Amino acid sequence: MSADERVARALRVLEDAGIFGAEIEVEGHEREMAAIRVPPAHWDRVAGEEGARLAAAVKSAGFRYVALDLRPADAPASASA
Amino acid sequence: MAVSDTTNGDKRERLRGILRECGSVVIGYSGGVDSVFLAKVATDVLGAAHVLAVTGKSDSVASWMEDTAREVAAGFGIPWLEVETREMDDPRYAANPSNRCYFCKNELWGRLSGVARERGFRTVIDGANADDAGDHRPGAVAAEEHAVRSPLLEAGMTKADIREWSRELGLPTWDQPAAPCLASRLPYGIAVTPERLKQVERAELALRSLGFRDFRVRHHGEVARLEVHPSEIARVPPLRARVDQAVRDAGFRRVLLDLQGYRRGALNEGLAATQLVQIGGAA
Repeated sequence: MSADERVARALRVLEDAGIFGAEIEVEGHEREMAAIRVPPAHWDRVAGEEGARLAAAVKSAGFRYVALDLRPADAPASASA
Repeated sequence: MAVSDTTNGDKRERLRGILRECGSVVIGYSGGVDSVFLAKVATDVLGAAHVLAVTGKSDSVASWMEDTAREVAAGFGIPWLEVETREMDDPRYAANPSNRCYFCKNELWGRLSGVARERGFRTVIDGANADDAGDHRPGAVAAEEHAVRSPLLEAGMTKADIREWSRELGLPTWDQPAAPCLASRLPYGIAVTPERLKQVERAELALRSLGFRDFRVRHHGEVARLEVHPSEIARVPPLRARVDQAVRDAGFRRVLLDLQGYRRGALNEGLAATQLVQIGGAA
Protein backbone atom coordinates (compact mmCIF):
# COMPACT_ATOMS: atom_id res chain seq x y z
CA MET A 1 0.00 0.00 0.00
CA SER A 2 1.41 3.42 -0.91
CA ALA A 3 1.77 6.22 1.63
CA ASP A 4 -0.95 8.20 -0.18
CA GLU A 5 -3.46 5.40 0.22
CA ARG A 6 -2.68 5.18 3.91
CA VAL A 7 -3.13 8.91 4.32
CA ALA A 8 -6.47 8.89 2.53
CA ARG A 9 -7.68 6.02 4.70
CA ALA A 10 -6.49 7.72 7.87
CA LEU A 11 -8.24 10.98 6.92
CA ARG A 12 -11.44 9.06 6.38
CA VAL A 13 -11.09 7.55 9.86
CA LEU A 14 -10.78 11.03 11.35
CA GLU A 15 -13.71 12.36 9.35
CA ASP A 16 -15.83 9.42 10.48
CA ALA A 17 -15.02 10.55 14.02
CA GLY A 18 -16.19 14.07 13.20
CA ILE A 19 -12.74 15.60 12.81
CA PHE A 20 -12.70 17.65 9.61
CA GLY A 21 -9.93 19.86 8.27
CA ALA A 22 -7.13 17.57 9.41
CA GLU A 23 -3.87 17.13 7.47
CA ILE A 24 -1.68 14.04 7.61
CA GLU A 25 1.96 13.68 6.58
CA VAL A 26 4.06 10.55 6.74
CA GLU A 27 7.20 10.75 8.91
CA GLY A 28 9.87 8.41 10.27
CA HIS A 29 12.84 6.63 8.73
CA GLU A 30 10.60 3.68 7.90
CA ARG A 31 7.68 5.94 6.92
CA GLU A 32 5.91 4.42 9.89
CA MET A 33 4.40 7.49 11.48
CA ALA A 34 1.24 9.48 10.75
CA ALA A 35 1.84 13.12 11.67
CA ILE A 36 -1.56 14.71 12.14
CA ARG A 37 -2.43 18.39 12.23
CA VAL A 38 -5.92 19.39 13.30
CA PRO A 39 -7.68 22.74 13.67
CA PRO A 40 -7.33 24.13 17.20
CA ALA A 41 -10.99 23.42 17.95
CA HIS A 42 -10.22 19.68 17.93
CA TRP A 43 -7.10 19.88 20.08
CA ASP A 44 -8.52 18.96 23.46
CA ARG A 45 -10.44 16.09 21.97
CA VAL A 46 -7.56 14.59 20.00
CA ALA A 47 -4.99 15.02 22.76
CA GLY A 48 -7.45 13.97 25.45
CA GLU A 49 -9.13 10.75 26.46
CA GLU A 50 -10.27 10.05 22.92
CA GLY A 51 -6.75 10.24 21.53
CA ALA A 52 -5.77 6.63 22.17
CA ARG A 53 -8.93 5.34 20.52
CA LEU A 54 -8.45 7.59 17.50
CA ALA A 55 -4.81 6.51 17.28
CA ALA A 56 -5.79 2.85 17.24
CA ALA A 57 -8.24 3.53 14.42
CA VAL A 58 -5.69 5.50 12.38
CA LYS A 59 -3.04 2.80 12.93
CA SER A 60 -5.33 0.36 11.21
CA ALA A 61 -4.68 2.37 8.02
CA GLY A 62 -1.11 1.05 8.14
CA PHE A 63 0.87 3.19 10.58
CA ARG A 64 2.93 2.11 13.57
CA TYR A 65 2.67 5.48 15.35
CA VAL A 66 0.04 8.19 15.26
CA ALA A 67 1.08 11.57 16.55
CA LEU A 68 -0.21 15.11 16.68
CA ASP A 69 1.86 18.02 15.38
CA LEU A 70 2.25 20.57 18.14
CA ARG A 71 2.30 23.43 15.66
CA PRO A 72 -1.11 24.96 14.97
CA ALA A 73 -2.71 24.03 11.67
CA ASP A 74 -1.97 27.45 10.13
CA ALA A 75 1.80 27.24 10.76
CA PRO A 76 4.19 25.60 8.31
CA ALA A 77 4.89 22.04 9.49
CA SER A 78 8.62 22.22 8.89
CA ALA A 79 9.23 25.75 10.15
CA SER A 80 12.46 26.09 12.06
CA ALA A 81 12.53 27.28 15.64
CA MET B 1 16.68 -19.80 39.68
CA ALA B 2 12.92 -19.77 39.38
CA VAL B 3 10.87 -16.76 40.31
CA SER B 4 8.94 -17.63 43.45
CA ASP B 5 5.27 -16.88 44.02
CA THR B 6 5.30 -15.91 47.66
CA THR B 7 3.97 -13.28 50.03
CA ASN B 8 5.63 -9.93 50.43
CA GLY B 9 7.26 -10.89 53.73
CA ASP B 10 8.58 -14.11 52.24
CA LYS B 11 10.02 -12.23 49.29
CA ARG B 12 11.84 -9.82 51.58
CA GLU B 13 13.33 -12.63 53.60
CA ARG B 14 14.25 -14.48 50.44
CA LEU B 15 16.00 -11.38 49.09
CA ARG B 16 18.02 -11.04 52.28
CA GLY B 17 18.96 -14.71 52.03
CA ILE B 18 20.08 -14.39 48.42
CA LEU B 19 22.24 -11.39 49.28
CA ARG B 20 23.85 -13.28 52.17
CA GLU B 21 24.52 -16.12 49.75
CA CYS B 22 26.27 -13.65 47.41
CA GLY B 23 28.66 -12.75 50.24
CA SER B 24 30.04 -9.50 48.92
CA VAL B 25 28.62 -7.66 45.95
CA VAL B 26 29.38 -5.21 43.19
CA ILE B 27 26.07 -3.73 42.07
CA GLY B 28 25.28 -2.30 38.65
CA TYR B 29 23.94 0.96 40.03
CA SER B 30 22.25 3.31 37.58
CA GLY B 31 20.47 5.57 40.04
CA GLY B 32 17.09 4.08 39.07
CA VAL B 33 14.42 2.71 41.40
CA ASP B 34 15.60 -0.90 41.33
CA SER B 35 19.35 -0.54 41.66
CA VAL B 36 19.09 2.13 44.36
CA PHE B 37 16.79 -0.13 46.34
CA LEU B 38 19.04 -3.15 45.85
CA ALA B 39 22.11 -1.20 46.93
CA LYS B 40 20.39 0.03 50.08
CA VAL B 41 19.13 -3.42 51.10
CA ALA B 42 22.49 -5.00 50.27
CA THR B 43 24.25 -2.43 52.45
CA ASP B 44 21.82 -3.12 55.31
CA VAL B 45 22.18 -6.90 55.01
CA LEU B 46 25.90 -7.28 54.23
CA GLY B 47 27.40 -4.12 55.71
CA ALA B 48 29.05 -1.33 53.74
CA ALA B 49 32.42 -3.10 53.66
CA HIS B 50 30.92 -5.85 51.50
CA VAL B 51 29.08 -3.66 49.01
CA LEU B 52 30.21 -1.50 46.12
CA ALA B 53 27.63 0.27 43.96
CA VAL B 54 29.13 1.07 40.57
CA THR B 55 27.68 3.51 38.05
CA GLY B 56 28.72 3.27 34.42
CA LYS B 57 29.34 6.75 33.08
CA SER B 58 28.69 7.34 29.40
CA ASP B 59 26.80 9.58 27.00
CA SER B 60 23.85 7.21 27.13
CA VAL B 61 23.21 7.92 30.81
CA ALA B 62 21.22 11.06 31.61
CA SER B 63 23.13 13.45 33.84
CA TRP B 64 20.24 13.65 36.32
CA MET B 65 20.44 9.88 36.80
CA GLU B 66 24.13 10.16 37.58
CA ASP B 67 23.34 12.92 40.09
CA THR B 68 20.69 10.75 41.74
CA ALA B 69 23.09 7.83 41.95
CA ARG B 70 25.75 9.97 43.61
CA GLU B 71 23.41 11.75 46.00
CA VAL B 72 21.56 8.66 47.20
CA ALA B 73 24.82 6.80 47.75
CA ALA B 74 26.17 9.68 49.82
CA GLY B 75 22.93 10.11 51.76
CA PHE B 76 22.44 6.44 52.62
CA GLY B 77 26.02 5.34 53.26
CA ILE B 78 26.29 3.18 50.16
CA PRO B 79 29.89 2.79 48.92
CA TRP B 80 29.92 4.18 45.37
CA LEU B 81 32.23 4.20 42.40
CA GLU B 82 31.86 5.59 38.92
CA VAL B 83 33.57 3.93 35.97
CA GLU B 84 33.64 5.10 32.39
CA THR B 85 32.13 2.72 29.88
CA ARG B 86 32.90 2.83 26.18
CA GLU B 87 29.95 1.21 24.47
CA MET B 88 29.84 4.16 22.05
CA ASP B 89 33.18 3.00 20.63
CA ASP B 90 31.66 -0.33 19.61
CA PRO B 91 30.27 -0.03 16.06
CA ARG B 92 27.89 -2.91 16.78
CA TYR B 93 26.30 -0.82 19.52
CA ALA B 94 26.39 2.45 17.59
CA ALA B 95 24.57 0.88 14.62
CA ASN B 96 21.61 0.45 16.99
CA PRO B 97 20.40 -3.05 16.11
CA SER B 98 17.49 -4.57 18.02
CA ASN B 99 20.00 -6.30 20.33
CA ARG B 100 21.88 -3.04 21.01
CA CYS B 101 21.49 -3.53 24.77
CA TYR B 102 23.57 -6.68 24.57
CA PHE B 103 26.67 -4.74 23.48
CA CYS B 104 26.15 -2.05 26.10
CA LYS B 105 25.63 -4.53 28.92
CA ASN B 106 28.51 -6.66 27.74
CA GLU B 107 30.74 -3.61 28.15
CA LEU B 108 29.21 -2.70 31.52
CA TRP B 109 29.34 -6.16 33.04
CA GLY B 110 32.86 -6.67 31.70
CA ARG B 111 33.99 -3.52 33.52
CA LEU B 112 32.15 -4.39 36.72
CA SER B 113 33.45 -7.95 36.73
CA GLY B 114 36.95 -6.49 36.49
CA VAL B 115 36.26 -4.17 39.43
CA ALA B 116 34.92 -7.11 41.44
CA ARG B 117 38.02 -9.22 40.71
CA GLU B 118 40.45 -6.42 41.50
CA ARG B 119 38.77 -5.51 44.79
CA GLY B 120 37.88 -8.98 46.00
CA PHE B 121 34.08 -8.90 45.72
CA ARG B 122 32.51 -12.30 45.13
CA THR B 123 29.39 -11.54 43.11
CA VAL B 124 28.20 -9.00 40.57
CA ILE B 125 24.47 -8.28 40.80
CA ASP B 126 21.90 -6.25 38.91
CA GLY B 127 18.46 -4.74 39.57
CA ALA B 128 16.37 -6.82 37.17
CA ASN B 129 13.05 -7.65 38.81
CA ALA B 130 10.14 -10.03 38.31
CA ASP B 131 8.26 -7.58 36.08
CA ASP B 132 11.15 -7.54 33.61
CA ALA B 133 10.64 -11.20 32.77
CA GLY B 134 8.39 -10.68 29.72
CA ASP B 135 10.23 -7.70 28.20
CA HIS B 136 12.62 -7.60 25.24
CA ARG B 137 15.90 -7.76 27.18
CA PRO B 138 18.93 -8.65 25.09
CA GLY B 139 21.08 -7.17 27.87
CA ALA B 140 20.05 -10.10 30.05
CA VAL B 141 22.06 -12.39 27.78
CA ALA B 142 25.21 -10.39 28.54
CA ALA B 143 24.41 -10.55 32.24
CA GLU B 144 24.15 -14.32 32.04
CA GLU B 145 27.45 -14.58 30.15
CA HIS B 146 29.17 -12.58 32.89
CA ALA B 147 27.53 -14.63 35.66
CA VAL B 148 25.65 -11.60 36.97
CA ARG B 149 22.95 -12.50 39.46
CA SER B 150 19.57 -10.78 39.75
CA PRO B 151 18.51 -11.03 43.41
CA LEU B 152 15.26 -9.08 42.98
CA LEU B 153 14.16 -11.33 40.14
CA GLU B 154 15.26 -14.45 42.03
CA ALA B 155 13.25 -13.36 45.06
CA GLY B 156 10.19 -12.72 42.89
CA MET B 157 10.05 -9.02 43.73
CA THR B 158 7.92 -6.90 41.44
CA LYS B 159 8.26 -3.19 40.78
CA ALA B 160 5.34 -2.55 43.13
CA ASP B 161 7.08 -4.53 45.90
CA ILE B 162 10.25 -2.54 45.32
CA ARG B 163 8.47 0.81 45.37
CA GLU B 164 6.63 -0.11 48.58
CA TRP B 165 9.78 -1.19 50.44
CA SER B 166 11.73 1.78 49.02
CA ARG B 167 9.16 4.12 50.51
CA GLU B 168 9.43 2.40 53.88
CA LEU B 169 13.20 2.81 53.68
CA GLY B 170 12.86 6.52 52.92
CA LEU B 171 14.52 6.26 49.52
CA PRO B 172 13.76 9.32 47.35
CA THR B 173 13.54 7.08 44.31
CA TRP B 174 10.48 5.17 45.55
CA ASP B 175 8.11 6.93 43.12
CA GLN B 176 10.65 7.86 40.46
CA PRO B 177 9.47 6.94 36.96
CA ALA B 178 11.37 4.17 35.20
CA ALA B 179 14.36 5.68 33.42
CA PRO B 180 16.19 3.48 30.93
CA CYS B 181 19.23 4.80 29.08
CA LEU B 182 18.93 7.60 26.55
CA ALA B 183 19.73 5.28 23.63
CA SER B 184 16.34 3.65 24.24
CA ARG B 185 14.79 6.79 22.72
CA LEU B 186 16.24 6.03 19.29
CA PRO B 187 14.37 3.62 17.03
CA TYR B 188 16.41 0.60 16.00
CA GLY B 189 18.42 1.37 12.89
CA ILE B 190 19.03 5.04 13.70
CA ALA B 191 22.68 5.26 14.70
CA VAL B 192 23.44 6.12 18.32
CA THR B 193 25.65 9.21 18.44
CA PRO B 194 26.60 11.48 21.34
CA GLU B 195 24.91 14.38 19.53
CA ARG B 196 21.57 12.58 19.26
CA LEU B 197 21.71 11.50 22.88
CA LYS B 198 22.40 15.08 23.93
CA GLN B 199 19.41 16.26 21.88
CA VAL B 200 17.18 13.81 23.72
CA GLU B 201 18.61 14.77 27.09
CA ARG B 202 18.15 18.50 26.43
CA ALA B 203 14.56 18.00 25.29
CA GLU B 204 13.70 15.80 28.27
CA LEU B 205 15.27 18.22 30.74
CA ALA B 206 13.19 21.02 29.20
CA LEU B 207 9.99 18.99 29.57
CA ARG B 208 10.88 18.19 33.17
CA SER B 209 11.24 21.89 33.82
CA LEU B 210 7.67 22.29 32.50
CA GLY B 211 6.50 19.84 35.16
CA PHE B 212 6.18 16.61 33.18
CA ARG B 213 7.36 13.50 35.05
CA ASP B 214 6.70 10.35 33.08
CA PHE B 215 7.42 10.66 29.38
CA ARG B 216 9.92 9.89 26.62
CA VAL B 217 11.26 11.99 23.77
CA ARG B 218 11.67 9.51 20.91
CA HIS B 219 14.26 10.60 18.37
CA HIS B 220 13.15 10.00 14.78
CA GLY B 221 15.88 11.96 13.03
CA GLU B 222 14.63 15.52 12.63
CA VAL B 223 11.34 14.62 14.26
CA ALA B 224 10.74 14.26 18.01
CA ARG B 225 7.81 12.04 18.97
CA LEU B 226 6.74 12.69 22.54
CA GLU B 227 5.25 9.87 24.54
CA VAL B 228 3.62 11.36 27.63
CA HIS B 229 2.03 9.14 30.27
CA PRO B 230 -1.77 9.04 29.88
CA SER B 231 -2.15 10.63 33.33
CA GLU B 232 -0.22 13.70 32.15
CA ILE B 233 -1.16 13.95 28.48
CA ALA B 234 -4.04 16.38 29.09
CA ARG B 235 -1.47 18.91 30.33
CA VAL B 236 0.05 19.15 26.86
CA PRO B 237 -2.64 21.15 24.96
CA PRO B 238 -2.53 24.18 27.28
CA LEU B 239 1.28 24.12 27.16
CA ARG B 240 1.69 23.07 23.56
CA ALA B 241 3.49 26.20 22.31
CA ARG B 242 6.03 26.00 25.14
CA VAL B 243 6.47 22.25 24.71
CA ASP B 244 6.94 22.67 20.97
CA GLN B 245 9.51 25.44 21.38
CA ALA B 246 11.41 23.66 24.15
CA VAL B 247 11.84 20.52 22.08
CA ARG B 248 12.71 22.45 18.92
CA ASP B 249 15.36 24.31 20.89
CA ALA B 250 16.95 20.92 21.56
CA GLY B 251 17.51 20.58 17.82
CA PHE B 252 14.39 19.01 16.32
CA ARG B 253 12.60 20.31 13.23
CA ARG B 254 9.19 18.95 14.15
CA VAL B 255 7.56 17.98 17.43
CA LEU B 256 4.78 15.41 17.53
CA LEU B 257 2.70 14.16 20.45
CA ASP B 258 2.00 10.42 20.31
CA LEU B 259 -1.73 9.97 20.80
CA GLN B 260 -1.35 6.67 22.62
CA GLY B 261 0.91 8.22 25.21
CA TYR B 262 3.86 6.67 26.95
CA ARG B 263 3.93 2.89 27.07
CA ARG B 264 6.81 0.67 27.97
CA GLY B 265 8.77 -0.71 25.05
CA ALA B 266 6.99 1.33 22.34
CA LEU B 267 10.00 1.10 20.05
CA ASN B 268 9.80 -2.69 20.17
CA GLU B 269 6.38 -2.52 18.51
CA GLY B 270 8.01 -2.85 15.10
CA LEU B 271 10.01 -5.96 15.99
CA ALA B 272 9.06 -9.41 14.80
CA ALA B 273 8.59 -12.05 17.49
CA THR B 274 11.81 -13.73 16.36
CA GLN B 275 13.77 -10.58 17.23
CA LEU B 276 12.54 -10.44 20.82
CA VAL B 277 14.89 -11.64 23.54
CA GLN B 278 13.44 -12.26 26.98
CA ILE B 279 15.00 -13.06 30.32
CA GLY B 280 15.58 -16.79 30.47
CA GLY B 281 15.34 -17.09 26.67
CA ALA B 282 18.11 -17.81 24.15
CA ALA B 283 20.33 -15.07 22.67
